[in-house]
Amino acid sequence: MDSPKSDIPQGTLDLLILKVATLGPIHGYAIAQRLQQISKDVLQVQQGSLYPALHRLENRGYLSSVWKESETGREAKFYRLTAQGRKQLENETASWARLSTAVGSVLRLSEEEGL
Amino acid sequence: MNWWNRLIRKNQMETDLQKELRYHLDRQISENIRAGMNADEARRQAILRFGGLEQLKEDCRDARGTRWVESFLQDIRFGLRMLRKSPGFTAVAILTLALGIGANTAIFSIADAALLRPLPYKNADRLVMLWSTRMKDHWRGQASPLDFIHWRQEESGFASMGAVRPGVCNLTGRGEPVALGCWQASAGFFEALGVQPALGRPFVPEEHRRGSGQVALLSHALWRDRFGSDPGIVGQTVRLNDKSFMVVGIMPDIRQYPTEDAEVWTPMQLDERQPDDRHFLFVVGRLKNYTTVSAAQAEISTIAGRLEKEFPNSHAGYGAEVIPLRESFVGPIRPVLVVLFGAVAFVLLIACTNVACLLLARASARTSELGVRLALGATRRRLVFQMLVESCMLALGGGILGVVFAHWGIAVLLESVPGQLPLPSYVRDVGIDNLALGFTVVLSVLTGILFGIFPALRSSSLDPNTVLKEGGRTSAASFKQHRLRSTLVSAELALTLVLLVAAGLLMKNAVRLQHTDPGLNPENVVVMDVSLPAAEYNAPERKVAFYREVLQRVRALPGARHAGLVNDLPLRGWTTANFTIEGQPAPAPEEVPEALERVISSDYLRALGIPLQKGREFEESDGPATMPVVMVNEALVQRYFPGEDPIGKRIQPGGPADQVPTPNPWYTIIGVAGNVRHMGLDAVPKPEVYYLYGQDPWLGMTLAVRTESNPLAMTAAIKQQIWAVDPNQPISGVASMTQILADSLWPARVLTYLQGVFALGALLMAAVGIYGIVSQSVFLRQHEFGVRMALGAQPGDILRQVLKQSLKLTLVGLGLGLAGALALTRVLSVLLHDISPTDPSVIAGAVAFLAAVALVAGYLPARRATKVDPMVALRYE
Repeated sequence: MDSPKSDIPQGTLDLLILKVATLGPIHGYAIAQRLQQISKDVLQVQQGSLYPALHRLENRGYLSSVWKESETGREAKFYRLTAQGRKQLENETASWARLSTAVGSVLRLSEEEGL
Repeated sequence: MNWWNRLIRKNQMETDLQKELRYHLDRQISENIRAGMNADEARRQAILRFGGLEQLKEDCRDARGTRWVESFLQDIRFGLRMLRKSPGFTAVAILTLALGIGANTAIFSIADAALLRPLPYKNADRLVMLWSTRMKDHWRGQASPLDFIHWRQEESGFASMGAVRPGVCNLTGRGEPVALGCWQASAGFFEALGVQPALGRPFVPEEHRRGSGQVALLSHALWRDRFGSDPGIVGQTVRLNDKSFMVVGIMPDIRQYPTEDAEVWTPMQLDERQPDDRHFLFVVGRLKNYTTVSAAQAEISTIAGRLEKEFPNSHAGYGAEVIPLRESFVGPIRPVLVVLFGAVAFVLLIACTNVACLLLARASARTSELGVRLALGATRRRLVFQMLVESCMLALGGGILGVVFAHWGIAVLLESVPGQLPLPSYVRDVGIDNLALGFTVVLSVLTGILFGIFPALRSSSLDPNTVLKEGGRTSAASFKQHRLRSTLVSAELALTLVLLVAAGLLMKNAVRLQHTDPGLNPENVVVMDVSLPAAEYNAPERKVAFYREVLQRVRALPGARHAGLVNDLPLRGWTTANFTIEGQPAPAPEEVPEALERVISSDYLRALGIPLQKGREFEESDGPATMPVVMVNEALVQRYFPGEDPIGKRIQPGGPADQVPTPNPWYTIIGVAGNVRHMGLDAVPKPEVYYLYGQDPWLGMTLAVRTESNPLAMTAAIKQQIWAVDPNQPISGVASMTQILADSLWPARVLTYLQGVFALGALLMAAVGIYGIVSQSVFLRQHEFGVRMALGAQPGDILRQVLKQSLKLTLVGLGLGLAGALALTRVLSVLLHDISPTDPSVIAGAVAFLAAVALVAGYLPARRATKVDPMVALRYE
């Protein structure tokens, strides 16, 4: 319970959602659970804030949605990654990798120079 | 779902959103229960993890991207509700705007017809007209065949060039005889316009050679009306001026300058070896693709310079001008449109200021509403947008009503066009088309933003704190806003003054024209045109015999006092010609005496009531066998015989060059007639020579009959007498002389009328503006007045104080307006006759009038200030 928690950096929520959606049709609640599990509770998401992001991604055509029966037997809205969304995910992943490498090396450099 | 579906299936979206979020929460709650929480705690924790539900829903709605449309629709609904709630305000605002916008729509429609509609010719922007010009009096007019032939032979910048000569001919043998517009068209004319016959063939080059067979093309309208659209007419012959012409084709249905009056075209057969140097040709050219107008002008000027040297007698002092076709025929109407557009723009500005004032006044009533909304978190942008939506709705309402006004106004305007006035056909085609509607919509929205933006910015810059504290009572903000309104009212007065001055100038101009002595007595005179066919009447004696008999028969009619003939009736046309004065040294080519030429019968001067100043009139005894005689007018005596007695002096038609090889006969001056304003009531009378009909018979003459009473009642009897002499004679142009004079004043009158209506509308709005501002000021200060009166101020003191304020506004407005009027009325000068655009009496009158109206409009509400009951005003605190 006392492990350190971080807020998700601005703008990366979309990236994480797209990544989780690669697993196949998945509804909002499951996405929230996944994010928490995979990040080992490090990433702190206010669960509700998933939804505006999901809707925005859907409206941009990165996700498509369908209503169908969920594992509990109730109808839920399932999201699936579209071809356009897949491409977007690749771009975003690549640019995230670049960014984190760059930030990482700047930080290392600073340590070495004793700043 | 795409954007559009998301927008229109809003309810579906909401249900789905609700369901989706519900699912999440329920799952979380059951999860929590499974983890051992009790039901309440499980629910609390789930909601806590989830975050604020309503805020999330809002965020999801924002994510749809349809939000702005929804709030826009919401604004419209809200605006409609607000406008419905104050019907008085809405009605006044919409009516005011409708006047402003409607006036603009109407004038735009006229400008649209005149300036914007495409000419019905292929690549019409390549078409130009070529005019002959004379430097000494800045005359510009028709070219002579000599000019035309040289231009066409020597130019290189034109793809084609052609000329037309308007004329009249009689069509007989096909029902009632009728006089038609018969135009001669040279080779290249239709080619230049890019017009082909719709049926049949165009003229071929041989038909333009002198002495070749007689062929004709018919206009579409004539073909339809006279020949029942029978295609079999091509190849048949028709009788024109008693000669047979074979119809070779029918022109397409084009009804626009320069061919609008033409009903029949015949090939022009120019004498290329000895071209005529008189000016009667309209020349049209089509520029080659890469020639500019200025390049063509340079080329034509060079040719004109050469002609000046080559033909000094006819061409000294003459030049040539190339003018785009559209420019050639909208040139004269441009200043009128500029003035009218200026006037309606001012009217609209005044309407805007008025409505802005109304909005400001209303905004102060809505202060608490706006304060509450700001306090609840509305952004300023959102408020401004919402208020602009409201003002645009007002403006569009005004626009719709304005189109109705404009439609009605144009109908009235067209109704007033005199039937016989020679106006370009587009004037009768004026109407509100899609372009004008589009213009109105754009104008309405711009208007809405223009008058809405100040009040919106002003009233949204509230501090919610103060507003809520003051609870909607008169506040510092109201006073600040009052100052803005005062400025607007001053501006309004300034604009109104400019309009009043313009209207005053035009009115004085029209009145002066109305009272200009035309030089004749138009009462009880009826006129009609008779045109004899050349073939039957080619011998001079036959013409003279025909007209003599007609005159005798008409004079014998009971009720007819005098009957006379003239070739060009005053105000209906003129010809200019050179003449030579006996005994004077040969003048330099550009100094050759020149006069209007008119051919009349005896009794003509008496029929029209033109006074004889000196000598005698033509008598029945003057004729072809007796000594050639002429009469001249006073202007000619002043110009060419200053200080001499002209009676007995002799003149000769034509300049020195025209006397070879055979000199013209000498004519003895026998009398001097008074000046007649032949070229229009606003034109200075020019020197004029009257020849005697019996000595120079023309085919087409106008018969003028002075009657005892109602002249038009005699028309039928006169026609009968003409037909008794020759039943094949078409008669046209029947009118009374008073009507002709009145028609000639129509443009000045209608312009004055329009300007007057605009100025009065502006005046009314300005008066309302002042009334409103003073009322508001009295309302805002009633507490102060109450205190003053309680302390012993007299009603007179209070009244003076309020009036002083409205006087200040008025003076500022008048000062600005005076400066504006002095700067702007200069554009009127081309339309004014003998009046300076800064005519002091007009300006003083307009200032006094506006000041008086402003004072009355301010006095009425000011009086209310004196009726403030100190007790009531103080208790209000």
